[in-house]
Amino acid sequence: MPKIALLSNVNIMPHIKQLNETQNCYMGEGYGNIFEEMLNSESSFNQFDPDVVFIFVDLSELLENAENVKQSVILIEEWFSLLKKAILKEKTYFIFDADMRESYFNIGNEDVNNQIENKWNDALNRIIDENENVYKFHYKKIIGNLGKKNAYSDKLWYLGKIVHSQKMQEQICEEINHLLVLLEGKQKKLLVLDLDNTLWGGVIGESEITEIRLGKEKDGLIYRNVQKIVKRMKETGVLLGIASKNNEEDVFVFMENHSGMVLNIDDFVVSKINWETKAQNILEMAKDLNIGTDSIVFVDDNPVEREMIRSFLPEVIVPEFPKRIENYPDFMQDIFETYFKRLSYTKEDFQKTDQYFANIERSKLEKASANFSEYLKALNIQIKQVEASKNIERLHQLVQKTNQFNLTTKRYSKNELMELLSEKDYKIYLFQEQDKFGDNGIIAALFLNLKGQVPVIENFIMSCRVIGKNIENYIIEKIEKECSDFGYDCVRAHYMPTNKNKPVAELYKNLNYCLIKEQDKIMVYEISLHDEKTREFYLEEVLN
Amino acid sequence: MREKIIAIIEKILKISSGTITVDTRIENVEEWDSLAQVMIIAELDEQLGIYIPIDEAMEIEKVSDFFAYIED
Repeated sequence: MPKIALLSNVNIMPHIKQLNETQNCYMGEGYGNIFEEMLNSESSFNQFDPDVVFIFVDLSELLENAENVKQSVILIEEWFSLLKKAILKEKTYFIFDADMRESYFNIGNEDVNNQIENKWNDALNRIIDENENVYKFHYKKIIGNLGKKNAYSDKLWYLGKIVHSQKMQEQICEEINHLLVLLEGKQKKLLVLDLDNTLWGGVIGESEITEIRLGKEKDGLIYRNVQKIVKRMKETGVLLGIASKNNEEDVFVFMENHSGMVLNIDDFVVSKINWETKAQNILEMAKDLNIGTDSIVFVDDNPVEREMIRSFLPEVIVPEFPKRIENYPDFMQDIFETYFKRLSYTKEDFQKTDQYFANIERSKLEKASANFSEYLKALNIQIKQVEASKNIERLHQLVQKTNQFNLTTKRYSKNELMELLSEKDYKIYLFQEQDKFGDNGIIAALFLNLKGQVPVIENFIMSCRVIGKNIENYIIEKIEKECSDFGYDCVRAHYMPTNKNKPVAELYKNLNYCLIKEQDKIMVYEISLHDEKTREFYLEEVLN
Repeated sequence: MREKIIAIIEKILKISSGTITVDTRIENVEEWDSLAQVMIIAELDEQLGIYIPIDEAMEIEKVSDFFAYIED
């Protein structure tokens, strides 16, 4: 469990007490000394040494002595210049965005509060852009949902310098707990949707009897809005799948021609429209996409189908469908927030559906090629080494999310990764790959420890979407060659079996490594760098 | 109303129901610090409409003192 802290210029003791019911949260020495606590290495805050720091500034209190907008702006700028000095690379920060609690600033000029809030938010956005470890806490959004009158309590404020009502305190703590889950980065990958009465109202197979409802009116508009939300989800990198009992052709004709459709068939990376059981279909999807069934969320209006998935595939998330249809868009948005949302998005995320599509094209080419070598040649694979230190986000994502081609499944935090990168005798190799069907982005990472007499490949991770292209042969050979150039005679490599990484159990053996020992569940392999090796791969190395 | 007041106090102090009685004095309850006192006064106002003026808030010493603010 990470150590967390909540700092503020107003009384947040009730929040902290509440957080401490489930979290390990710094108890603090009163409030109002944000920077004294952060900057003084002897402070109890620094003794506690939190991993994640939440900072809430009540702007009305901060600007208490400001007489006009100009003075407010100066105070805000000063605050952020102090913050810049106080933040440390190895911690994660969430800073609350602006909401002006007091309204008297606005007397005589209704726009003053807006100007001040904008100033704060601009400065906050800048610091977020400049620092990978600083994120925004969407405070104003919570205030908006509750309404100012419910979120703030004058009584608590004047009695005890507490600005938030009990309800608001709860919401803030809930959001903090949620952000800590997101920080772990173990989000789902695929959203599988039913069609009839899920993406539109009505049943396609009965559309001659009753009309399909999808468009700009009544519940048709609800389904359309749900589709808009799903489309946005797809654009953030969520993969979409269809599991529907229908005639496939009827569905395609409908989806292509109905004017109310927001999603089109190309938005779905995989579709199983047939009369098989949905459990069977979902299993096949997982196989097609090379993902675990535990990274799937399934939405279906039919309780029988939901129950079936729950009992056959208990690791699939199956949310209860909303009882009232007008709650359906909110329900879908909640699914995004809970299971798919991430704290930050990398370039790879936005290309994800395209990448998986290209994978399906690849398997078609594989079927058409006479043999595997010919297929690999026809792929025109290009591979490029990229600098790990410039791609920390993606490296961290690979490390956290890859399960199958992950030789040890050791997870590293961003700080641990940065520490490793700063070490002289440690190298992290990162590779980017593309082929004739598309750019797969950064897909492999290899950890090489050069501290001992024999170099050790401590971990090797490859994204499941490029498995089966013999890229591992190239990468291992490249590392071996480098080690040979450094003057080493042999290389060792670690494999630690887990439930999920069985596909790579034989990797080192197949690469002609010998198992030399097993300690603490780690199998240690070794290869001599003087032996002749014949490994097959077909790719072009792109130099920087 | 008296039971409701006691229930709110117990909820905010996070102590089991039945711990607080009409005669309980604040100083005898470990959890009942000034922060809890502030939360109780705000919550009584919000939930039950019991208005305790700010300048009287810290003069309350025992549970029964709250009852004086119940409006008929």
